[in-house]
Amino acid sequence: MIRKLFDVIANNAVPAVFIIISAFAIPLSGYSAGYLIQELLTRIGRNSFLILSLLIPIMAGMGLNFGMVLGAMAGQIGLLLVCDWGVVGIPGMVLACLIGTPIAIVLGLFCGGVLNRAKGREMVTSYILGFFINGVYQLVVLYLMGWIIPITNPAMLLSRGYGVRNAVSLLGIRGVLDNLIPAVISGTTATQQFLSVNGEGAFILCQLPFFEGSIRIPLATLIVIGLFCLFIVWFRKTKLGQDMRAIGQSQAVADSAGIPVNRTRIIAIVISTVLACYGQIIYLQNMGTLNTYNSHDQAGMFSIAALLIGGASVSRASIANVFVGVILFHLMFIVAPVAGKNLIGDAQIGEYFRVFVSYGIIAIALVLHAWRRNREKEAARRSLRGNKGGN
Amino acid sequence: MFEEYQKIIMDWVLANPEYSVLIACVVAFCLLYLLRGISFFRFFFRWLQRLIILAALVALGAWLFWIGREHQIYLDNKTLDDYKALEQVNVSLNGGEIVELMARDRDVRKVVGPKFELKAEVFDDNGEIINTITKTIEPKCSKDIMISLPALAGGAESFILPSPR
Amino acid sequence: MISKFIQNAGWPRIIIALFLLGLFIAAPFVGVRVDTSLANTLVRFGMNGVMVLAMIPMVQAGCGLNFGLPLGIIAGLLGATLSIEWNVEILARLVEFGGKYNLSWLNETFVTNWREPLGFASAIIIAVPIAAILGWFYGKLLNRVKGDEMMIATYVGFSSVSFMCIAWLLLPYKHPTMVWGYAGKGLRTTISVEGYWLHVLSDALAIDVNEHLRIPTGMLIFFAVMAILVWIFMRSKTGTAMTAVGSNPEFARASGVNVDRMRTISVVLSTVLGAIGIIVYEQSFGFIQLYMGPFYMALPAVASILLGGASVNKASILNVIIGTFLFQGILTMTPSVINSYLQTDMSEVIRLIVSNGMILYALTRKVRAGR
Repeated sequence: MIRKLFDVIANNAVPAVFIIISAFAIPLSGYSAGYLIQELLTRIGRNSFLILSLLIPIMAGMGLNFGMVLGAMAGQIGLLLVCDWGVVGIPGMVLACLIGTPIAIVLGLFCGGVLNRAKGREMVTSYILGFFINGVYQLVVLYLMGWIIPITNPAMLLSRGYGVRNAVSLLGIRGVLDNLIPAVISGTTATQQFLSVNGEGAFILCQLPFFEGSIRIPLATLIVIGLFCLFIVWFRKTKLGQDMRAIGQSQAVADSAGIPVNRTRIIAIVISTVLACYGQIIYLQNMGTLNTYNSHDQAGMFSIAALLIGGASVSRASIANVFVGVILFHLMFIVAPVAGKNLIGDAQIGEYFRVFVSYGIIAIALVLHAWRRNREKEAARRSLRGNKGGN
Repeated sequence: MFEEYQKIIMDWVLANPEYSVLIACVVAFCLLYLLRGISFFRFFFRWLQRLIILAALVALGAWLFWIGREHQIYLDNKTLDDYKALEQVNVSLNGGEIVELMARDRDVRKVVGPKFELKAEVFDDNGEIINTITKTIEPKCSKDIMISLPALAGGAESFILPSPR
Repeated sequence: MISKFIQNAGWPRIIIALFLLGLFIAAPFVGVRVDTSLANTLVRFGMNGVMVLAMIPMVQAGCGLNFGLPLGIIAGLLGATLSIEWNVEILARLVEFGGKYNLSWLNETFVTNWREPLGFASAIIIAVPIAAILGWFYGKLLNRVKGDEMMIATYVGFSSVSFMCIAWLLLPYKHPTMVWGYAGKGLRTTISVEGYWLHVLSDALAIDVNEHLRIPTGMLIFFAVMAILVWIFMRSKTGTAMTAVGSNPEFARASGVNVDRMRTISVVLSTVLGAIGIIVYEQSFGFIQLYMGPFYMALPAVASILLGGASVNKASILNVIIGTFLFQGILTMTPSVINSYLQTDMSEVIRLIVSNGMILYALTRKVRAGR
């Protein structure tokens, strides 16, 4: 009974702590509800897809896929090429996905193969693999692009004639998915002004009484994310999904049941990598600028931290965890610097605080997971001994 | 003997590259079939499926490239050969905002897609419209083009010039 | 014979060694002096050697590669900054101490003459207990998460670095060379150690072979002393017990060794060595890098020892020496040689690929051998 209670608390401790932190930090920051909701909606649209891509490897018992940065890099290569060719709008985005997919598949196959050779330490291996492929990515983007891979747009290249600049503007596909179906939630006042200022034929989704101004909703992005959630729900029920869950429970049992363990694990990673590729493209269409050399790094760390803050663990994660995590993590993200500034008079502290929280939360989640697993192992051993003693 | 055949084959391959690619594909396909050792129809349809999917994806990519390509259209109102620069011309692309070009002006606008509609109103010294031209122009895959408005107004065939950059 | 050698050394190592050899051969042809490169390699070897040495205890005790090295580095940074902050007080106390116990040699002139080495020593003396305490907690933590040490170590390192970012801003440092001038508080991102203990080891007993080749004898001797100490320790009773824990924990437990205690000792030792290592690094580099500076410092050290032939659960002093030399050799030679050949700086990319490729190789290899 007490053990059970402890487990419930341990399972939900992280989100609870974050709700408490936010409860203190929101009033300190002094942001209005409308602003916060707007920012959160934007960030849900921006980040959810990336985080959702982490779910499938967790299902297959491979832990947090730090290798998702591989997919992010594939997406960025697609975007760079599309940006150079001057393909804009939704066609540009889809084309970037189309280019990124084969790259992501190849990287995913490689990642899966490597992880199969490092069973039991998938996470640290995929983490280092991310760094390794980052080196290859830099080699391609910094030396081969503009030299072997033709890049004609001089605005994208470094002044030396090859290599892509640190920041590439994605004006052509900025916000195309977010604004595909313009929609707003309007508050009590200022709706008409807002609509006329923005000059779009945005339709009003609903009216809420408790705040002023209006909130734009990235409706198309949310629909894509919703479809993706449905895909995951459906996928869990397929044969492949069932196999993955069996492998996640126990590789040995799955193997003796005739499930091709290594193959299924590779498929899980490939799916995750490809989805991370799409996720990064959605993320960057919202941002509008591509930081060629560090966008993908941040994508990995922030997605994993957000998922864990949502109450997921290394071995168990649900769709609900993703959304709770996005909301809590980004609430802190928005609020922390201002709260830090108002509290101590230094915005830098809030900035460092949120970096600390991102890393700290991953550390704590990993520790809790390993700790619990070791305790279970110990308990199993003890009960085995006890039975023997009893006989 | 052998070298003669080799020479004949090589000559034929060099003369008919498209056929030789086709034959190479067929040979590769047959070899793969022999290696796999499964029923011919299953093998054939599996590969056919893959090829169709691949072709469809490539076609989709090409189509997206076709419809999504952004072109920079340079609008040029300078004297070109016999066609003298126009006094004033108002141009709108795809019914968008109007660009006013005085004599010897040049401006640039962006359009998306394989073709666009150009509407030009030519004015005389007194500000009266003397000519209205509506034309559908297809830049197709060339990224940037320049349109010589005097040539267009004068009814020339080749009013599309290469981009100045 | 050759194939056996290759199998022992492993392909990546041989490729990298040949690559380095090729760079040294190619150097004169592109106008890079071999002796300058050699001198740079030696300096970097001395700078990084102790931090690589820090890997040995944990690897031997079966705690895996110490990706949590930043924790030790933080202790070292605390020691370094405190030694500057308290420099004057420390020297005054020393003189006072000499007067109190009638140590005639420990007087004003001695302290003034030996100001820099004493500062350096004080940095180490402050850093070591901090490192030991941090390492003790860190070791206790790692004992609870057996099997997942490396991943957790990585994130313990990261979170401690980002935690210290806040601390560097808030700790009440006052020394004018270290805090931001306009605010009068909060440590700067880089702090020069010039005038405190810049090059105390590098310049001690340094031999100038010619104007390009200067051997930092003092630093190398310091590394050698540390290496010998570790070597002796690993052969002591505790050290052998530690190795036993690493190679077969069940057997070690059966023969009465306290597994958890041995692991904790190894982590403490590793952290302490990391702290000393960063101070040695800084005295040669000339700057204390705070904030995000120590963030990725574990990776080169880990890569070095693996490059030297260590695996995830076995490492020796020889691995450290070979590995550090190879790794630092590549880091010094690639920029100079490749830059003059290709006119671009590819060293960063090569460093990323080589170091992480090496770690990846080591992580994927042990399992295959175990099957």
